[in-house]
Amino acid sequence: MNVGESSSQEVDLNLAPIIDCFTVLITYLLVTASFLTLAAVDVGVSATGTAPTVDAGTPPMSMMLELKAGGDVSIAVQGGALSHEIDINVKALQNSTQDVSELESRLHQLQAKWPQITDVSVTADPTILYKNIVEVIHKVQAIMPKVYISS
Amino acid sequence: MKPIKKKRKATEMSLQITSMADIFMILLVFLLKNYAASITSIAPTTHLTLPEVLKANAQVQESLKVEISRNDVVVDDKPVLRLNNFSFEASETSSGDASPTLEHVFAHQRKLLPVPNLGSGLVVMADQQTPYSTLKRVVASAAGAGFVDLQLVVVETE
Repeated sequence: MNVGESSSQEVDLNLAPIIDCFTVLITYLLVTASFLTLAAVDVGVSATGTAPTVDAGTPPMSMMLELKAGGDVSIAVQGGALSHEIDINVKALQNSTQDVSELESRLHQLQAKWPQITDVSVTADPTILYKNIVEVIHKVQAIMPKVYISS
Repeated sequence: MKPIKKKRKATEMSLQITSMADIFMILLVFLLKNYAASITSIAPTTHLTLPEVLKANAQVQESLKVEISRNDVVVDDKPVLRLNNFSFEASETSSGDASPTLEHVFAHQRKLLPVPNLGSGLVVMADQQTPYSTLKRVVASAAGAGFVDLQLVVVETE
C-alpha cells in the first residue's frame, strides 16, 4: 500500500468529435444563411368606387397622390372646409423620375397647413414601375403614416 | 559487436483545440441566433429583384405571401397564374379590376385561415420592374377576398 502517493490522473476531454460536429453545423448555417435584410412597407388598400348618392354631410379632408407617366406627381387635397379641390403638381426630374425631395417638402407644407390630414391614397399610371411606387410610398409614410393603395 | 539500439523518443504531439472549440461555439451561437430570427420562410421562391429602400419602418410578419415575377404569380409558394412579361392573359383582364383566377385562389386561402374572418394581412413580394397595372390587379383580387393590410417587402439598405 502506497500511503501518501498522490495519484495524479490527467483527464483529457476529447474535443475532436465536437469540433467535427461544429464544422459541419457551421458550414450548413453559413451556406443557408441569408444576409439580405428584408423589411416591409405597410400599406392599406383603399376601395375605389362611385361617390355616394346620399348626402352624408361634409366629407373629411383627404389627400390623393397620383404618379404620372412622365415622372410628375400630382397631389390633390379635397373635402373638409375646402370649397374646391386643391391640385399641386410636382414636376419630374431631368431623367423622368419623381422628384422625391420636392414632394417631401410639399407634403410637409400641406401637413403644416392641414394637420387633420393623416392618410394618403396613392395611385399611379399603369406603366409606373413598382420600385418608384415603393420609393414614393416610403417617403410619404415618413410624413403621413397611413398610406393606401388604390385597388 | 552488439548493435546499438537507438531509443526512439516518444514525443506525443497534441493539437491545442480548446481555443478553436471556443471560437466555434461563439460562431455557432451567433449563426443559430441569426438563423432563428431570419426570414427564411419569406424568402422569395421565384427569381425576383426586390426594390431597395433606405430604412424601412416595419418587420415582415408571417402571413399569406404573394409573389409577382415576370412570368408568374405565386401564392403561398405555389404558382397560380402565368404572366407574359408582367402582363395578364386576356381572360384575366376581361372582368373588372380583379383577376378571376386570383380572386378564386385568394378566396380559397381565406377559407384555410384558422379564423377566416380574421387575418387580413398579405405579404407582397413583387419584382421592382412590375408595372402598376399588374400590381393593382393582384391587389384588387386580394382585397376582394379581404386581404387589405399589405406588407410590401423591400430590401433594406444602409
